[in-house]
Amino acid sequence: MRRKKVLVADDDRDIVLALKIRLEAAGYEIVTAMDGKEAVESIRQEKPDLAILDINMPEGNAFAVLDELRDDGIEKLPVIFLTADTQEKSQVKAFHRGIRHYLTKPYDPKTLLVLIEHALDEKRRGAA
Amino acid sequence: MTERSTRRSAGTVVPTGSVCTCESAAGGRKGNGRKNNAAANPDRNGRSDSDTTATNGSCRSNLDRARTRARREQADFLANLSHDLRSPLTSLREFVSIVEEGLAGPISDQQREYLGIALRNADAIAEMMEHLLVLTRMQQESFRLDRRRVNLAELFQDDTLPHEDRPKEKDVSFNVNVDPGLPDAYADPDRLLEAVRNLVDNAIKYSGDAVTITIEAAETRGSMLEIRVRDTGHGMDADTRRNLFVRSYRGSQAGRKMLGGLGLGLSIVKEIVDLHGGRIRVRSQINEGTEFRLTLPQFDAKRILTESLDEMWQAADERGGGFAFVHAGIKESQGALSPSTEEAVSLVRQVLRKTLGPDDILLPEDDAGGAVRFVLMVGKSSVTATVRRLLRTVEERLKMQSGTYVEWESGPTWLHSENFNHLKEMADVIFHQWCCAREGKDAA
Repeated sequence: MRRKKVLVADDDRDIVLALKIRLEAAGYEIVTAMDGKEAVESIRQEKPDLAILDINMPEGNAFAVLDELRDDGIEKLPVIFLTADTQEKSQVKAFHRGIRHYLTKPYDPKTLLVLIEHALDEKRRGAA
Repeated sequence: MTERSTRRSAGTVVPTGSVCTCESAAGGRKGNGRKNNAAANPDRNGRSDSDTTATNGSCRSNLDRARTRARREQADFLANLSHDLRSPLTSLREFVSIVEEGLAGPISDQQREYLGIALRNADAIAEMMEHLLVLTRMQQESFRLDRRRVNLAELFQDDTLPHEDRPKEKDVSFNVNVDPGLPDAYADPDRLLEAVRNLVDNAIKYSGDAVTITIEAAETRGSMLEIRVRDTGHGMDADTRRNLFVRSYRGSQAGRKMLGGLGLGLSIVKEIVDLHGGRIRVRSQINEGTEFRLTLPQFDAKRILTESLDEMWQAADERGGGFAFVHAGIKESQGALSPSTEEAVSLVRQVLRKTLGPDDILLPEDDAGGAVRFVLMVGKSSVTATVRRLLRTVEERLKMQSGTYVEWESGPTWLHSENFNHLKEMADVIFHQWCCAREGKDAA
């Protein structure tokens, strides 16, 4: 069975690397992006199975990325928001956009892996 | 001429002829669930600083205003700082953790041990930062409690308290002893849980190999409730105990070491209790454990409504103009609320809190009979439009997602009047709808 492809988008190089190491060790194929624009291009070209997006990125934050990809059928892509922002209004905004998976930094790596499995599972069952 | 920058002035109207042109330092009562703008509260007779005749600029309230502003700026600064520290801390923990788990190649036992120590300290920093962030957020202007009717027995059920990351070497047992028949509290359930959890965390930290933590609640005089959190831990000496809530305590070596750890967590507890208009007391003896007592107000619908009305009136008076009730409901034709509707209600509540301005009030919603009613008092008509839109969005989403049919019980109603007595009458009507359907005998 092919490895699942996960996009990691964050403007913090270190976090991207840390996630890449963790997720590759867990058996995922990783694609990375450092800003909103790269994230959009990556999603279009690489067609990942799941995207982990930092909310506050330059060249388009996570919400802008979702907006940009609306016509590309982004609704079907499982998305996890990873962010330093714990403010409720971001969570509410994310909810409005249909984003159910929201993780704040510092995150527990085990939780992140479980969340990824869960999100991929949801998609597989057609529930997402 | 009063400056517009301060949101509140004293409830008492400053008579013409009074010379003081400073804004009053008073406004809003402590325990109204939000931060006061000023350091001082009106004294018992309702007099406040604005009643002091004084020459321009030398009123005490100028100093209070400056102090408040400084405190606010500091809170904002710390909140931003805490927020910015999260990313580097994440990377730090992650890379130490990655190496410790062997993901960067095999490591020796000693290396693993040392990395474990590094990780433990990184976690300690993360915890302190969390506390700092929480504390500073609560001290910011924009913070508001989300107070509701809370049954303490339901809140403190066994499974809401234990921790997954409890140190495994310790034997921790809980003893929750809260009578479900106690009167409900008027409190923000999440914040209250947070306060108790902080006390529990400290109890676990400052104890030996085994500790028993007891949580009890009881009615006390003055229509209050008292929550007691007791442990069989190390306890503290009289000096430490007396100075527990004093900001710049410089006590004994042992005391200071203890406080260094306890400090932020306890500050949060105190902040939460203060915001609720309650009190916190502590009893402790070395080697005999510690007991914290938190007092909070009981849920009293009439009192809440009356106090809210008074506050609303003060704010409207200061602004010039009236205010409005917004009374909207979400209901399911089936009867009881389904999980998706409950989720929607939770969302509505969250969004409403964010939408409301400093002078708006959201009363705890009533959820009797398969309907959830929101009652707001707002100072601006633009808010009603927002509420209407919000409820409509929620309704559409519920219909789409689950096919549940949501009925309006009554749409948002803008009632505007500059006549306080008229508003009081309308308030009475709403009050009866709001709580007497449930309470029956409390209708008065």
